[in-house]
Parts: sequence; structure tokens; C-alpha cells
Amino acid sequence: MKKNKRFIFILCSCLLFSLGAATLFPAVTTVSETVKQGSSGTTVKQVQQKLKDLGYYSGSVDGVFGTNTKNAVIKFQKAKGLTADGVAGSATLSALGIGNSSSTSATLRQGDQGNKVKEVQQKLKTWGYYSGNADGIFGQGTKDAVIKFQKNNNLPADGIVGTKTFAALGISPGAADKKTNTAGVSNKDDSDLLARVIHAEAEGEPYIGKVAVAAVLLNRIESPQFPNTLSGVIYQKNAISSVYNGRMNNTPGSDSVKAANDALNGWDPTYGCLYFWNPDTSTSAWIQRLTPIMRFGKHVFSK
Amino acid sequence: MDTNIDTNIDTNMDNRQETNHTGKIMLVLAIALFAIAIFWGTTKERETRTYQTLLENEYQQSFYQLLANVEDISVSASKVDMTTSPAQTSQLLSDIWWQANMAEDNLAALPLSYEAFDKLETLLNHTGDYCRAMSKQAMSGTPLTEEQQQNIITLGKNIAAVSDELHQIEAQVNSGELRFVSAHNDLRMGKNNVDNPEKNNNTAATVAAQQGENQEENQAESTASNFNDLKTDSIEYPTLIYDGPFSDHMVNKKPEGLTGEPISMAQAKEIAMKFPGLDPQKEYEITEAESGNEATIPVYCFDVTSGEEENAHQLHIDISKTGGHNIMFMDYARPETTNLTTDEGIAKAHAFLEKLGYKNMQETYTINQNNVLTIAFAYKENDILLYPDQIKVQVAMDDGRIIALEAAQYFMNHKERNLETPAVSVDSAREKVPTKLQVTGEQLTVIPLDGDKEYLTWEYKGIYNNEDYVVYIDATTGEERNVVKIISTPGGSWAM
Repeated sequence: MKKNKRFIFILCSCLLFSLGAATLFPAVTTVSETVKQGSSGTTVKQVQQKLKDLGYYSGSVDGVFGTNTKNAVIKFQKAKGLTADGVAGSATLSALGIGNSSSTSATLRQGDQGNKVKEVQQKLKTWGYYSGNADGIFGQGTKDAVIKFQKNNNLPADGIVGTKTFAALGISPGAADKKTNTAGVSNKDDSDLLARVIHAEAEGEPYIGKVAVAAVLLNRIESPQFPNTLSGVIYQKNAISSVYNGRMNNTPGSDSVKAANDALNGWDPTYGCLYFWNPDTSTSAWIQRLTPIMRFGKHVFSK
Repeated sequence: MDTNIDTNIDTNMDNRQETNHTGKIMLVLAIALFAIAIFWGTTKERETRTYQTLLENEYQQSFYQLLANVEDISVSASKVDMTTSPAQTSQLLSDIWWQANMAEDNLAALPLSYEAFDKLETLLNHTGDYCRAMSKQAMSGTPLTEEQQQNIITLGKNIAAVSDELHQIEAQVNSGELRFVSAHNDLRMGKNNVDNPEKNNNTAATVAAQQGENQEENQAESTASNFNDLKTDSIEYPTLIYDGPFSDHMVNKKPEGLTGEPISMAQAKEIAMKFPGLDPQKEYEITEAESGNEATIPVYCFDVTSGEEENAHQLHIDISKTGGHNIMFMDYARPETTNLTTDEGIAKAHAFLEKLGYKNMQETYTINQNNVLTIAFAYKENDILLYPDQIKVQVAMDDGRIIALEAAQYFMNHKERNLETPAVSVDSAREKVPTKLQVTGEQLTVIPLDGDKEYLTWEYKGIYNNEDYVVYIDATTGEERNVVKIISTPGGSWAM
């Protein structure tokens, strides 16, 4: 009897303590920037692959930092004039082109921006492939021009400016410098915000139901009863439950992003509705007094 | 972990001395735990209080700003029949307009019940919108009529009544009697019905609506009621006749282009199944539905599915109840790559529109997002481009199939127009275009402005500073009507 009691007490205090510790000392999850002998994981794998590609390492790419890997790192460091300690720190990693400073792929594709894009556009323009502005934004028009150019020059017509296309254009390859749009305007902020709400409110709904939810929010902007901006409508106090309970701050899926764009482009499957609710879970008599106009999946829509 | 303790105890119990030792450790541990718990609790408590103060301050800031806005509006509105110069009137009215906008922002930030919010928001929107329209009128040299002036004064009086209510609340806020944070919490409580915990996570969007009714139940002891009871019953609207996006005729707009007789669900289904996007050889499973008649365009809806659950091909088709027109269509399958050029995509969309019987449609702008090319078409009549009659088509850029159609806007606006020959020639209108603009194209167009008012204009597209602009000159009066800037992004361009 006594034994049992004490056991329970010990168990409880252990549990309590671990609980307290977990809250007081949140786990430290900062990823160490350094890989050295004894390390393992994807970064090690990357290092090994790079060293192998460069001819410093001949072992297997197994993600385990052993003596062979260390020797290869030292060789590489000596060759690059780095401190030859066999430890792949941030300097060594960036020299290997690993980490966030590494995305120096020498291709340009739709979505890229910057002076390199401008250079390509100017070339295409002088040769009559491109008629738009040389604005440094790799858009659909630029892509069309690149495809036409590639077809004329017997290159694979993929619309991506790679090494061969660069050569044919007579431009030295280079990546886009990620410059922001000069006009300072983007419609991405609206679709981002909208997509997050769709994701939180209509994740399990059919695609048309997602577009419908977004359309309701956009209809509210046009209505005199609601704020006149998208952020105003979304963050209006007590208007949307997922904003209230924080579910809206999750990253949206790709379907939600597409649905947001469709709604922003003018698709409104609700034909002017201003409210939506789930009749199975809604506890409000007020909203159930509204006349339903449309139904998509679990949601009912009304004006 | 648990089993370790278990065995430890078992062995410990064999030795009394060690048991006493364990007891001491336990005691120390318990005291340490207690101390940690207290420390943790007070830290959290302090943190909560900091956040509450922060929130309360935010609310108070919005509230005091709202108060300042409504005071300004009511004073400015009362001055309207005291001003005589058009410039002064216009200035005064545009001042009311932006004060109303600011008031709306501040209002939306406050924890109000839905009903109180709804009425105030509508009042502010109408006041701002109306004053903006009147400001434009005054600016163009037409003085306000006596009736228009009286409308503004009535709106101002309504705002003044709201202002009085807000002053009473201000006294309570000032004395600490009312805290917005409690109002906020009461609204939250209202949402989470205690007797119905599993419904707490409901996905219904309009919690606001729920607040409205929970309000009635909680009123008696709720601090929030002071604030949410904001009396808005006294608001009486003058009938406002003007051109603006929030004017009554805009909000209650009816479709102008729906021709034909009402049709039955069966007839609509027949039309839907002839849709160019459907393969006549395939077996489809069809779900029928229809919209309520309050929809801007009442429709029959068909959800068409083929194939197995995993790879099911799904379409949504809307056919108008009047005339059986194809209003909307959407294919759920989305492409992963782009293999076509914009021109090829546009050609596909043209062919599709012709199959559906839409003639004389010209593409106006395109945007490629996620390998979907969205093309906006406008109706062309006698070489005049009619922007209000717009149809949008989406093309999958991997194989060029059509995946979406939106013709609701076309049917809302399409009508017989008596388009006169322009009084202002293309060359004389061009003199109004800024000389800085290097004009690349001109076109006679009809554009919608101020809600749904239409203007016959000359459109001049051009480049300035390596950026695209479009300038619209009224083809009847020669006035500049609008300037649009074309924003180019990687996906395509759009007008702003």
C-alpha cells in the first residue's frame, strides 16, 4: 500500500517536472552551421557529393562524415586557401556552394527578375523576337520570345535560358539578381492573404467551394456593409473564425492559392453572396434566418 | 522512464535507509517544483497582463481616432450649405470622404457586435461615397442642388448622433468602467458555447453573425453590451441618387444581357452536356443543383464527374435559368507545365468562344499563373471595344484545353447601345494626351467608371519611362477620363 502511494508520487513529480521543464526550456532547435568528423545527415551528403563532383572525394556518398570525408575536406580547403582544419564551417560550405548562399544556377526562367533578364530582353528585342518592354521581368511575353528564338536556332524550346541559349544570344550566363519590382506593386499580397483564409475555412471542400469562399470575401469589399479593402474584410473583428482562432496563419496548399487567383480574376460561383456558413456546425440562429442561395460542399452561401 | 522508476522503487523498498534517503530527495524535488510552478505562473501572468494592456491600448487608439473622425465629418457636413465656391465645396467634400474612410478603418478594428458594426459601416460608406461623387460634380463646375446639400446635411446629422453615442462610451472608457479587452472577451465567449464544446471549432465564417445573437442572451451582465448596444436605430437615410460603387442601383444591379425565356432543369442539363469541354463518348455522373433567385444571375448548376475517385475528372457548369446561357464553367484539373506560347493559348480560347456562340470577342489582357493562362475578352462592335462586356477564359498551357469560363460580367452589362460617332476626332483627342507618353496604339472604347456609368473614350496605349500606361480621353467632351498604369509581373500584366 505504502509502496504504491510513493510510486504514484514519484511518477507524478517526474511527470510534473518534465512538463514544467518542457514549458520553461523550449527545445533548442537551431541547426548547427558546421559539419565535422562524426556528423551525419543531409548536409554531410551534400558536402560529399560536391567534393566528389570536384574530384576531392572518392568514397561513397553515405551522409556519414568519416576520415575519408575529413581528408577530402582538408584537400579542398588547402586548394581554396581556407583554414585546413577538416571541419566544414560556413566558409567551407559556401565555397562548396552549399547553404542558402548557393542558388547560383546559371539559368533564367519565368518569374526571374533583374539586369540579366533585361539584357536578354534587349537582345531579343533588337532581333525582333520580343516586342514588350525591357523591364527586367521574365514574364510570359519574354518566355514566348525565348521559345521563338530557341525554335529558330534549333535549340530545345523550353522557354528557359540555359547555357546554350545564353551562348546563342551572345550573353555570358548569369543568374537573375532577385530585385523587387520597380513599380513597388504586386498582386501577390492579396492572393497570399486570400489563400490563407481559403485554406483555413475550406480546406476539405471541393475546388469550386474554395473559389466560392474567396469570392464571398471579395464581394464584401464591394458591399457598403463591409470594409473596403481585402485586409479590412479579413481582419474585421469577429468576422471570420479562422482569423480569430489563428488557424488562418497556416501555410496554404497549392489548391488554395489557385482558388484565390481564380476569385481575384473574377470568378464568382456564388453570384454576389456575402455570407457563408456550415449548417451542421453553425450555432447561430441569426445566420440561419438568411435565405440560402448556393451550396458548395459543406458550406451554404447567402446575401 | 516509467519502468525505470518502477524497478528503482522495488529495489529501494528492500532497504529502509535508502528509502528515507529517497524521501528526502522527493521532498527537495517537490519544493523545487513548487517554486518553479510559482515562478512560471507569475511570469505568465505578467506576460498576459502586458499583452492585455497592449491590446487595450490598440483598441483605445482606434476608438479615439474613430471619435475624432466622426466629429470631423459631422462638422464638415454642416458647413456644406455655407460654402459657395465650387473649389471650396469640392475640398470640403473630399475631406469628408477620406475622414469616412479613416473612420471605417478604425471601426473595423474595434470589437463590435455584428449588428452595430453593420449599420455604422453602411452609414460611413454611403456618406463617404456620396460626398466623393458630389465632390467630383462640384469640381467639374456643376454646383450642388439644394436637395444634394440637404442629403449631405442629413448624413452629417446621422453621424453626429453616432458621435453622441460614442461620447457616452468615451466617458465610460475614461473612468475605466469599460475596457475593450473585456468587450472583446465577451464576444469570444459568445462564440464558444460552453454547453456545446464540440462546436467550438466550427468553420462557419460569420462568427460576427453569431455574436449578434449571443449578444441578446448575455446582455444583462456583460460589459460588452455597453459598447455593442451602440444605438443606431435613429439612423434615417435620405434617398441618395448618384453614381458610385456603393449606390443602391449598383448594389442591386440586375443583369441586362440575359435574353430568352426561362428554361427547366432538364433543358439546362441538355445544354450543359453539349459543352465543348465534355467528351460525348465518356460516361459522366451528374449532380444537379440550382441557385436561389436572389443570385445576381440565377443559374442551374451541374457537377460533372467521370472516372474513378482517385483520378476523377470533375467539372462545374452553370447555365442561366433565363435563356440557358453558359455563364460559368470550371475544370478542377490543373496543369503542371507550360508548353504553349501566349498566342497559341489565345487562339485556343478564341476557337472555344466561337463554338459557344460568342462572336466579335477581342482579347484585351492576359496573365499566366501556375501554368494557367487567363485571357480577358471584350466585345467589339463597329470597331469599338466595349470593356464592360467582358468574358474571361482560362487555358491550360500544357495541352491547350479550356479549363474555365466566366461570362457573368458579360451578361450583367451586355445590351444594345446607341453608340454615336465620336464628336472628338482621334487626332484632336490625342492633343490631350501627355506629350511624355510615347503612344503605341489607339482605339475607340467604351469604359465603365464610377460603378457602372459608361463613357465613349479614345484609348491611347503608350510607354513612358519604360513603363506602360493607358490614357482615356472622352470622345464626346474631350476631357481626360482615366489613366491606367499597366503593372507587369512575371505572370503577366494587369491594369491599376
